[in-house]
Amino acid sequence: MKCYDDAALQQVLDGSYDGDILEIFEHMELCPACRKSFEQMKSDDTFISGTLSEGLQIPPADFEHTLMLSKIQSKNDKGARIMNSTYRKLTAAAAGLAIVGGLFAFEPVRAVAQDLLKVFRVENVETISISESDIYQLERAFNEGNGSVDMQDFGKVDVVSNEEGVTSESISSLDEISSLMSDAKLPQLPDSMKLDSHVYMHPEMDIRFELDAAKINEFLEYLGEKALVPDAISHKPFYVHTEKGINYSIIKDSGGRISITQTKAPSLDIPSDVDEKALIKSMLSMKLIPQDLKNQLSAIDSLTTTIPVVYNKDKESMEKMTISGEKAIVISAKDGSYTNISLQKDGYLFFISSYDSISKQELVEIANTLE
Amino acid sequence: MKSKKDKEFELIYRQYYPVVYRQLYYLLASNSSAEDITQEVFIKFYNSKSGIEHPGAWLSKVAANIALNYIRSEGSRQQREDSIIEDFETIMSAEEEACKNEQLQEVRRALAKLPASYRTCLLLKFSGYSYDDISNVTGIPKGNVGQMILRGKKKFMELYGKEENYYEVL
Repeated sequence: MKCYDDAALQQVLDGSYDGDILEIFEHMELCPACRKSFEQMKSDDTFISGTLSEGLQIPPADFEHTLMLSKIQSKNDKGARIMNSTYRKLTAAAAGLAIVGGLFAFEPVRAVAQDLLKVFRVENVETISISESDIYQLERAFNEGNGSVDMQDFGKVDVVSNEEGVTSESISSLDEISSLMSDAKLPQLPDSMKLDSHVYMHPEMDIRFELDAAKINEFLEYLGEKALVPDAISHKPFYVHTEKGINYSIIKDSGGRISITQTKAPSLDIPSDVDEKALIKSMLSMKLIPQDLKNQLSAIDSLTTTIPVVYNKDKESMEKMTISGEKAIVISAKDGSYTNISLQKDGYLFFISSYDSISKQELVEIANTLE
Repeated sequence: MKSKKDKEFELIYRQYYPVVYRQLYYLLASNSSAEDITQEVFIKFYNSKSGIEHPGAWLSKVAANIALNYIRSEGSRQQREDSIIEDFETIMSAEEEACKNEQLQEVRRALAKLPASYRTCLLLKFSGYSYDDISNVTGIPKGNVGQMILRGKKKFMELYGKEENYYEVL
């Protein structure tokens, strides 16, 4: 009986053994020495993997979003870093709401002037907490449909921009930011912090949704919903329009980073024959939307002018504060790894985030100096 | 309809997204940085002009290079060139200061003391890269990768254990 060398056992463990694995397992049945080596390797693997992954939290893969950003980037060879993850999540949340709103716009209203678009602005900042199970419930509903129903079949999402995508400029002082955006509000930096060398500019962009009512209705019927999308909305595009934005970073000497994004609120253009209040009301009456989320949606006054700041109450805590004289929402990771501040001031939205060794208190102090 | 290019990209993305993320987390010890840079790596992949023969090896190299540049832009003191393998000590020393978590620091000190080839094999293996990918990145023949991983693990266990004892004495 020939024993296997340890390297072969490691290959088995890593699924990279080229020979006959069954032979090895049969051998181990009979050979306590090889079995013991194998078990030891397995437990070392588990141990090392555990120590390396301490604190690791892999966010769900968002392929469509990465693809969209990749296409934006391909128009822009400068290789600028895309807006930070906070901004990205917020725009995704706004777009997500628009998709849901579009999907469930089934009260046929004011069926005239179909080509005119109705514009409403999203101006206030409010929070909606979303738990893991909410997300799961939504995802499962979409994923499990009836197997043949695929999100992609519901319609198309396109990004349209007249400019060249996200661009970057080298900067050495805060004043240079003012020359790029005249209304920029800038923080005062303590001696322990300095400006990072690049500012990123995000162009105006139209995200265009065009939905297939027949496919959506098939899905809604499958889910047991009685109310259906009117055919009128089918293949009638509506838009989320994002305004120009800038993003720059501040670095703390002893480690840590603050990212500041300033942008105008996005606006939504929906077909004029769809009443936005009715649209939202119908959305709230859908069984598909988790009750917890519905309660929060309905608790927001004047929903149509509110941008939802979604947070995850399992991993984050939320606090309302007054910062720079305005109402602000402060969301902190429970493990202390980051803090995000969202506030609206003089017609602009600000998203201010800190990573790593910058405390919530420090971040609030910086945000308070925005002028 | 997705183009052929987009479909191929999707397959690679779904396969390697958690792998690249883990690799970056092991290098940077920060979820937010790992998330942003993972995205950047895939955007670069999509926009790469030349054909990429070994996607896994390509992704791991680009991820390591961007992580290195990120650390440098964070205010790292030394400017060195070339591959991540030589520069790992730089990353470790720069990150150590920013890294709050004591256990993470311990792990990273132990990693920094490993011979470079062991370290690369270990990090890539635990990120989830295949032996083929590891072989393409390091130039180590595929048949020897298992041996390198095994030695790296052994050395890591020794070093990590020592660090812990040291702290217990303190």
